[in-house]
Amino acid sequence: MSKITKKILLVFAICTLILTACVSRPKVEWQLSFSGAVSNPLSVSYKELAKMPQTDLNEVFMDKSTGEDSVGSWSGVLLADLLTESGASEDFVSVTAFAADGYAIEITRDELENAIVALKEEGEWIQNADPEHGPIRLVCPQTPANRWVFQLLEIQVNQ
Amino acid sequence: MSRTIVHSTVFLLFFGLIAGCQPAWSIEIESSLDSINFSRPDYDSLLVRFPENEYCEGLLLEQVLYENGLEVIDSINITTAEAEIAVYLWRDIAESLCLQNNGELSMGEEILKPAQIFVSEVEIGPETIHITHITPTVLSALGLSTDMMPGKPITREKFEHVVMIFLDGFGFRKFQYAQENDLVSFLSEDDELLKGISVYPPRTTTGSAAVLTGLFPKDNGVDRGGIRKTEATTIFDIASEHGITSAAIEGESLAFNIRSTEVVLSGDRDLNGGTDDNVYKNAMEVISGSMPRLLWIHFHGIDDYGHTYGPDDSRVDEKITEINDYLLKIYNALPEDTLVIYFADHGMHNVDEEGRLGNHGHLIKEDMVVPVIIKTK
Repeated sequence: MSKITKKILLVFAICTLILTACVSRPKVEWQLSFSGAVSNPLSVSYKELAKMPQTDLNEVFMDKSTGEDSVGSWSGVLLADLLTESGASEDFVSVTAFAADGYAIEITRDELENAIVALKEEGEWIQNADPEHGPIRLVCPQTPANRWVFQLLEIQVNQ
Repeated sequence: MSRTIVHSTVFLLFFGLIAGCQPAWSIEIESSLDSINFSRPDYDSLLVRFPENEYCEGLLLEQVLYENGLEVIDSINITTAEAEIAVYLWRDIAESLCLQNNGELSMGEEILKPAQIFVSEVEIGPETIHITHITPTVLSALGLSTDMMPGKPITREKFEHVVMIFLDGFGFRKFQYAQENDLVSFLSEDDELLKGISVYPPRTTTGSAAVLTGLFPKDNGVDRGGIRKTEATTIFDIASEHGITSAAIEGESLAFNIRSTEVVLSGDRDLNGGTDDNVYKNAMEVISGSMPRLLWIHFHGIDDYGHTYGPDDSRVDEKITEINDYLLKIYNALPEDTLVIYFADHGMHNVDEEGRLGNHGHLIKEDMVVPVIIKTK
């Protein structure tokens, strides 16, 4: 193998490594738990969430109370699937979402339509692209941004 | 050759000095309070705390004025180095007047080189306190020490219970209007009505932090928008340390993070488009159940409606009437030996912006002056 070929292969290997590092799932220690009116209190790790079927939401309008509204694409796990897995009461009226920074909000059932626990924003892991708002974020389409809880830690189901 | 080297070195040193020097400037800021000289070093140290703002590059002049003790501004006269005088109403320019690192004031495309700024404040009148006085009042009423608080209690009477009723966005101007139009019957002649001065920027997070800690923004760390928690000790921390029971009834979300107490969120479970009825319901449950010694009840509707429709809209009046009804029922349900403090975090002024007709956040009377009412049972 000529020196030039070796160099080309080396550069190719380095580029592949860099690209892989960019697109592979970040290593994050994070648990999302489900509590309240649930028959199977779940605690799902970031890794487990990343392995679940992912749903894409495109051109989602984000209505912000401060700053400019925006439109973006998000992907993650359907909240409805996670609620089903945690055995959420069939007649639950709302959930309270808690964030790691102490923020909390009660969100009514109607507002949770098509909601996802997002891991990616604009195709990039939130943890890499916008770590302050990661690693996971509740995305509730058609609702004000104060319901899009970042650093999501716990979902409490209210009956 | 050696002479050339010496000349080059001197030239380079001189050039370096010139380039390294920051232009010195100083602006005289005068008001009825004081006269100060604000210079480049002052600018630099303030810029470290506020490297950016939501309105412009540089330092918002409003921030400079607040840091120098000015709280409620009516107008300013700017005298330029060429002795030209420009007069502005503060409400017209509060969010666009920025101080640059060369000492110039920018207002959009317009640039002014000020030599002196004269600030005319609004006369608030007697019986004025800061909202930070609410905190020592609560602690004193519960029999706790207020030594660590910069403010003094409004009353030193002791009570078994203290209820703090937070009327978000209910400024003094609107309160006076509500009084004149019989919308606030919860206020009786025996109650003490004070004018409270909020903190800058007058927002829910900064106002909440000031009331929870008894400290001004520079001391509790919540000195701009977007900060939702404080490292400073709060009244709930102190109550918890002393084994005093407490609870906080909030709206659908925690506008500001409250800790060391039982927080009850009140989402719009009945889907009627507001949370005040849910706050009321949860408050009544707590009062009729295990009434704590310290209770915080936060109504958001006046602020929400004010933002959406503008503070002078009749729908805001209807919201005040609705909340007044809740306040009457809550008061009637409270046990004897209770101190009730009604207060707001900020007021509101009319705007004409996309998506909203009311807003707050400036050193103007409508935003900064709020009612503080002391009632006993």
